[in-house]
Amino acid sequence: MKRLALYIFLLLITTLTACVREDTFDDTPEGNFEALWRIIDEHYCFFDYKGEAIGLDWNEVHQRYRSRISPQMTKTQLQEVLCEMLAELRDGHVNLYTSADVSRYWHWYEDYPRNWSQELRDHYLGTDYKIAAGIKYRILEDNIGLVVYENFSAGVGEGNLDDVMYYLRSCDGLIIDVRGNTGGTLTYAERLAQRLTNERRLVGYTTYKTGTGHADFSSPKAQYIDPSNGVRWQKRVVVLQNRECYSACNIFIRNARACERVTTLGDRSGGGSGMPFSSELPNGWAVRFSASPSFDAQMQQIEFGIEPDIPCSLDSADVARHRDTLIERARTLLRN
Amino acid sequence: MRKIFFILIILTNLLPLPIMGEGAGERVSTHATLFGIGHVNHLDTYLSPLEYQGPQLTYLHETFRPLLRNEHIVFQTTTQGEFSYSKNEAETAHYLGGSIRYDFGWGRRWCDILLPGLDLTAGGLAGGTLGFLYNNRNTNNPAQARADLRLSAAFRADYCFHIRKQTLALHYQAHLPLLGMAFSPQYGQSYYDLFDQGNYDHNLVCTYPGNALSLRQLLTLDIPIRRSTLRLGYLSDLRQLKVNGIRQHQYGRSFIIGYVRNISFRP
Repeated sequence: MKRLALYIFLLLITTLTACVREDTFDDTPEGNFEALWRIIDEHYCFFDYKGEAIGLDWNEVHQRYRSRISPQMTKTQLQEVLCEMLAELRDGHVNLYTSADVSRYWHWYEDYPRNWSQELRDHYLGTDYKIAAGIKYRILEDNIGLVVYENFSAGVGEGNLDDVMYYLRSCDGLIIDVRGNTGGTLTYAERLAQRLTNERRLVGYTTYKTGTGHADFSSPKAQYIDPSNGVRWQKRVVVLQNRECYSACNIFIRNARACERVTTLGDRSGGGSGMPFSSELPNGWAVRFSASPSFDAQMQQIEFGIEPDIPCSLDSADVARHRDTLIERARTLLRN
Repeated sequence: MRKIFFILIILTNLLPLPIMGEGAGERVSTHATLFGIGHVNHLDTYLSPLEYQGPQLTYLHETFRPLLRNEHIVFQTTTQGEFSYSKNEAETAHYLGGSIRYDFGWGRRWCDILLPGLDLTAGGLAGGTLGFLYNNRNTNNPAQARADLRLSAAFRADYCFHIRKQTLALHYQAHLPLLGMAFSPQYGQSYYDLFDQGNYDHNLVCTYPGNALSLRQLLTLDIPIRRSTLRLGYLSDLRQLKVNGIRQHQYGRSFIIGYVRNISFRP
């Protein structure tokens, strides 16, 4: 009996001393800096790729920015330094959220021509266009269907897509304009692409981190799109893209390109192929970062965007005549 | 608190007549229904590296009875549900957590061992848990599902004593999971990848004290009040999991109160 009591006592002691905890940092400028650097160091998914592509060295970043941290700095000053540090990642999916501001890196589209305007889009849609959930659509004068999906955060159902495809069925071709679409829900992006294929297609690969090391990734998993069971588009399609096409929209472009009757036209897309996760600092600030990268069907990175099949920019002379160069080029392609 | 106490006394008096003590050849099946309020500390590094703390409500139902054929072998069941609301230290985000667990098993009981009135029971339990932990501001990692199956060692001590002709009963029990299976995403795997894309990647893991050292302890005192029995106690439920690069803990501590029904039966 004494032996039993001893075993129980030892078990209890073992239990009490084997707590599962995480290393913590103080809620000080130094602590929050170290916490943020480490969260990104252990979870961010593009270190190796960006090391090669843009020379990113996260340890060097630590050295450079640590010297700018002091115990006396204000919250605003701390946020400024942390935001600059995060901008080194050149990633639109990386944000620091405080009660006063949201840090962001938007150079992936701010530094380039937009290649679309709301005024021109309104001109083409007119006032009698149709709206099916997140999709605006109409038939242009030359019997080309125009579908505008402005943001994948706005949902679209299978029934909506059935109605859109059925309404446009007699058109000679289809323009899907996703310029300015900065992403949203992947499901809607996939749902739209499933209307463009009659067979299962390999569209890319995905992987995710399995540990804290920069190269700790799962083996790539193939990603497919399956044809929709609803009404599918059987004629040619031109997808209009620009630098603002990001995240889920970037994935839509990747998926659409894999379909045989689809041509992409416009400027390089913005990219953003890392599915973002969230975490937080000791002071309660939230941080978002890319955690799970997607690749194209050739296992190439699409973090910095996808080139169109046909490069095309908005011509200022066309704009002056209320003509959208990209839509007009797409109409010409679909008519011929 | 006084109101709750009063309501429980009324409630216990409305229940069927309980029988304290065992007559010759009689055996007693004990059913306890308990409610707890306490504090929880959550850590789940899939959601956040920070610990969240806050109040927790607990529901607990237990049965404990000897077998018909052998009074030294007892059968017991435990159903436990919790709901918690916890915040990070800066109070900028919160978790909503909930779980339900069920355990059942058998044990060997030794009566009047070491000193009169002390019964010791040792045995095993099989059980499982289903639950969730939701973070209100995360993006593609907004929640964590909890699911496990386990085999546990169970120890129980029951001690009856008298104070001024009043028979009181002190109970202590401990459950220590020894072997099981638990669900967990991989370190950076999203639920979209897991369930929408159907990519399984060691998401069911074997658990043992080396990666899931957990201990549930319950100390209660039974106080007969007229024809009923009031049970007061303290529940310490420490659950931990360290798999797939993710660290989780849920340290719950609650004061509990409830009533006990003792139903006698003859084999």
